[in-house]
Amino acid sequence: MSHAATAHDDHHDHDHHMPTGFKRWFMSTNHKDIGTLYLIFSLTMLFIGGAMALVIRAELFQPGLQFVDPHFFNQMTTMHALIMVFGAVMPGFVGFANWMIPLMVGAPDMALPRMNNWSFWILPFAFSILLLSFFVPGGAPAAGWTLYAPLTIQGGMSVDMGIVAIHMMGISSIMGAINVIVTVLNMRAPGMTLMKMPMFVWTWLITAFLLIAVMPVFAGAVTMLLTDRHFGTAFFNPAGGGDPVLYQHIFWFFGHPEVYIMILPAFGIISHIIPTFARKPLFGYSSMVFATAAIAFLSFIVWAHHMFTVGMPLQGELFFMYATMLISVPTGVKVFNWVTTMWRGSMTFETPMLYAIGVVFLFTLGGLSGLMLAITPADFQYHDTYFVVAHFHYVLFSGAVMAMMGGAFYWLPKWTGHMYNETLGKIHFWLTAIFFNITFFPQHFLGLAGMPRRYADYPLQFTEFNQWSSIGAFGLGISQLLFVYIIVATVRGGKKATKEVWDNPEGLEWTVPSPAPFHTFDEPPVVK
Amino acid sequence: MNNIVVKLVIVAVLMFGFGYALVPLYEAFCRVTGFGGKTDIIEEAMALEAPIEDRDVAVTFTSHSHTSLPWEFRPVTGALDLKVGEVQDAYFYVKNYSDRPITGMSTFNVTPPRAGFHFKKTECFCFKKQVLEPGEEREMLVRFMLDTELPDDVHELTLSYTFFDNEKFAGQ
Amino acid sequence: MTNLPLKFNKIVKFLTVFGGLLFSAAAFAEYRLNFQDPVTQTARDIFSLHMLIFWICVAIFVLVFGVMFYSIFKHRKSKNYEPAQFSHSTKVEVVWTIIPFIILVAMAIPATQVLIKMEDTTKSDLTIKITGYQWKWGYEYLDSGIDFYSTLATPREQIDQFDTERAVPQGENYLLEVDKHLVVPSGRKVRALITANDVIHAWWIPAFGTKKDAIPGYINELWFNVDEGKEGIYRGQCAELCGKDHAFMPIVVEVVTGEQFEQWVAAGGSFENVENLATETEPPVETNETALIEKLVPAANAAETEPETEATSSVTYTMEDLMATGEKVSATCVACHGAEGKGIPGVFPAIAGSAMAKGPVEDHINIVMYGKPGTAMQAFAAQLSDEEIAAIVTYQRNAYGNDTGDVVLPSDIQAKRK
Repeated sequence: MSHAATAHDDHHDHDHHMPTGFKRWFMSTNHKDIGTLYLIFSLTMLFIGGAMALVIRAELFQPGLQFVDPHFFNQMTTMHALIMVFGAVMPGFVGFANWMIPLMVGAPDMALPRMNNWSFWILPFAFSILLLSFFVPGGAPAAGWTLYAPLTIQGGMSVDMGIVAIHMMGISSIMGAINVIVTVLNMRAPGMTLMKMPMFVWTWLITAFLLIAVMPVFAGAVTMLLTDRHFGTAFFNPAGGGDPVLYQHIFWFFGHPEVYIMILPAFGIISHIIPTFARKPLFGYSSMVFATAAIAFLSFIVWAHHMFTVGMPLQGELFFMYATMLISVPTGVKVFNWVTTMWRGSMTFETPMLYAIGVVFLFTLGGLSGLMLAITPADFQYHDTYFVVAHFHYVLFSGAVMAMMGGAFYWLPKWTGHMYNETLGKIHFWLTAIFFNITFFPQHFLGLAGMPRRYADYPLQFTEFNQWSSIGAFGLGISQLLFVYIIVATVRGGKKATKEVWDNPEGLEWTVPSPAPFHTFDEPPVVK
Repeated sequence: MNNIVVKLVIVAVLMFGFGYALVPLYEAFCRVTGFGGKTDIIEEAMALEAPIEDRDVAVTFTSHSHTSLPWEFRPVTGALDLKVGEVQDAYFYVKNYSDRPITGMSTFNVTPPRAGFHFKKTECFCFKKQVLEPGEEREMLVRFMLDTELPDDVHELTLSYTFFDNEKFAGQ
Repeated sequence: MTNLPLKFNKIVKFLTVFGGLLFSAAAFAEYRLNFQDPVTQTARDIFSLHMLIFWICVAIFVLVFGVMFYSIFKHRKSKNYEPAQFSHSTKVEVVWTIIPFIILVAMAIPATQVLIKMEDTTKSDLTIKITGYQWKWGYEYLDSGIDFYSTLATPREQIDQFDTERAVPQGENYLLEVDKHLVVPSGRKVRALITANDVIHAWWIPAFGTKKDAIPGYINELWFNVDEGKEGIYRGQCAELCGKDHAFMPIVVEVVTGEQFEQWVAAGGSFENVENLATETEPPVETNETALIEKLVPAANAAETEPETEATSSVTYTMEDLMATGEKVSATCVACHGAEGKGIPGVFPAIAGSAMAKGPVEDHINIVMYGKPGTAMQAFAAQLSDEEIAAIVTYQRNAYGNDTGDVVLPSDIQAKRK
């Protein structure tokens, strides 16, 4: 923590004075600055993707087409998903990893700081390309974020731009993942064995392996799409003898682990917040680690549950049904562990804790609807309806995004040196949680009653719940302005935060001052 | 440290290759399990030697010609009852009713999918380029049999062919 | 770049609509919280399985969060609760790994049984081939050779509400009505072979408990057997994103008794013919045909289901006739090229002011009849009659401000057919 003591840190070439302006942000190799950049990027994308969601909800407020034509509507659903998945959730967690992993393992920085800079600065370019596709003839990609062939083969040049953007963000994620793995494996403080690592570090280590395993597969799938579109190959195009179902297999081989890439770091964050505010150690640390690993492993053998309706032999349906159901065992273990951590604790309910409880509660609801979706015969009815839309927003919004919000409130004092306004934080939680449920809970009913997803217009019997959902969505969107206000206000000022911030929290990040200085752990701490 | 980086990069590159490897793997997987109703090709001599069982299976033929392809395409052979093990011929009629020569290619599968693996064809026009001159008509042959391993509860089987315009595909 | 879709006045309109919510509630159809009432054994099995799993999930949820909320209310610092410091218990952890596993097995057994029943492909009574198109369904009865297309029958004016002045109130079966129903008998096992022409679609009737993807180039199979006594009309929708008009290709199945079905088949796939045959009025063919064409407001594809008309060549056609028919039957074209013929730049070319519609007539007829290779432009020669093709070409060459003055006659088309 002392700047003068280690003037020449040989294998890390970062400057030991704090650069400013262009040099600080564009050429940064500092994990905290890059983490901040990632988080700002993620929040920006959350708003862009959210604006698209509001266009969707505005159109669906009433039956009939009032605002946009169906082609533009399809562009909205497609881009909303691509931006939220690849622009908001994934970079958001990378931001948390950048900020917190070195602080948690007692390392001075990420292992590969310059690569860290590249992996961030690829992203703004990738998303500029993706967003610019709105302005090419035919508009943005409109075949759904899953980019199913042969519909994607019909699309305009925006599909090619989308594919280039996916390649770029894929490279960015892989570089980020390599960085996390190398940092975690090589740069832990003396005494911090693997089984003493904080849960967030564990979940990210496993996530990083998933990323390296599946992002290239996705890159391969979209490359095949590209050559099918322009270079006369026929992997997926039946006109040349290809098989459209093959695309779905390859896509979901990536897609299902991708789901866990988006949720495992959220589990990590929750596993930090709950013990702090229950004033009790995390229950079942080692079973948490094994459960995470088990979820990651199972995620590779369940992909076809996304495509039960393509027509597969009975044995295939049974295998994928059983394997998918099995995932609920390790996931259940995690939920039970969190609840038991609270049990007989001495709880207080500051904003991060409210978020953590909200996540456990709502994510579990999404997990149970996931269990229902795993049941193949019932899935024939749920598949491609709003039931699925409700399900994945419960796991992704009230799982991943709300966990990030909770994490932001939890570590904001450490990042900025100021306490956020607790009252506003609580208001933000309640607004988010209530409007989220008004938006997405009715979608379960819509799906069960038979409303298919990705519909620009719907029959009259779906009107009421769509109106609920639209009202909730606008409330949810507007509430997030409060989130931005709280963050800006906390960066600017507020009550000074102590080193520990909370009541005796566990972890190395609480041993450095608040705000965390530009350079930390130049001399590694020793973990007992 | 560089060691791990190199290893991880290699893993990433291999996984990119694995994406491509899934294409033949899926093909092989389908042929072995009948997933997707993919079928098997065997030598004619083998087919003729196969034992014939006294078990009837109703076979239906369907065809479709993609609407951007101005071809008429329909089965000539109507639905038929076939004994397991018996080698059977079926014909399809195809005609180019446009005023230009066109290359087409047909995909093919059978349903129910679990019957696919037990459906053996010795001759088929599917997945091969076919060029038809303006106004040209042709009868196309499929010669096939069902092997004795066919599950007992498969009483009905459908063969489906779809012709697509193949002009823009360079190779096969 | 297309014109900006969210204009300020639309936002204002949204707010007004928003305000009017309370007053419009009466106009809504009845909403549902759960599945549509099942009318097949399969759908009933799925329904009870769904409810079983649902209640198990509810029980788990209540139990787990009962514990959590108890803890939240009891074990809080404000009640001076002293924290315990335990952090693991192998016994408890083993128990809550095994119990969920047992629950899963209990769920998997009935699920497997239902699935095996659904995959039973033994003898069916009737086979129908279903083909998904962008954006309509094609049906073919393999046993009797009846085939037809089924297209959305909801008028465009009910859908387009961009201009509130011109908008028409939506009907009861808004977006769930088609020009020709799929007719099936109750009490018989109907096997459906499903495929698609262009992209993946999915055929779904919620009340039957069946959903299967329609995949271009490959065939899929499903079956259903509607209970006797459950005759009636059942509606479903396409369930796999298939492009622009994904929401506008509903499925309507009319379930009739076996006897009615036989009559329907004998009459060549028309209940009107059945009635006419019964009352023994004049031969039904001619009159029904004209009546039918008039009824098919947005539908263009009835031609194939009707017998060839001999009369066409002897009738004289005026430009007005052709324009009127052309406007009616060009719904197929409008699906891609837009109601004003402007297309979607980069995806679907415009007709308005295009070189095709203003250039040589021959090329225009050719592209409509034979399609354009490698694009979504279909060959309509087999789908439409001479009269319809002539009317469409005439209409497109004179509407949308093209004003070429060209008239194409059905005989011109007939001459081109070989």
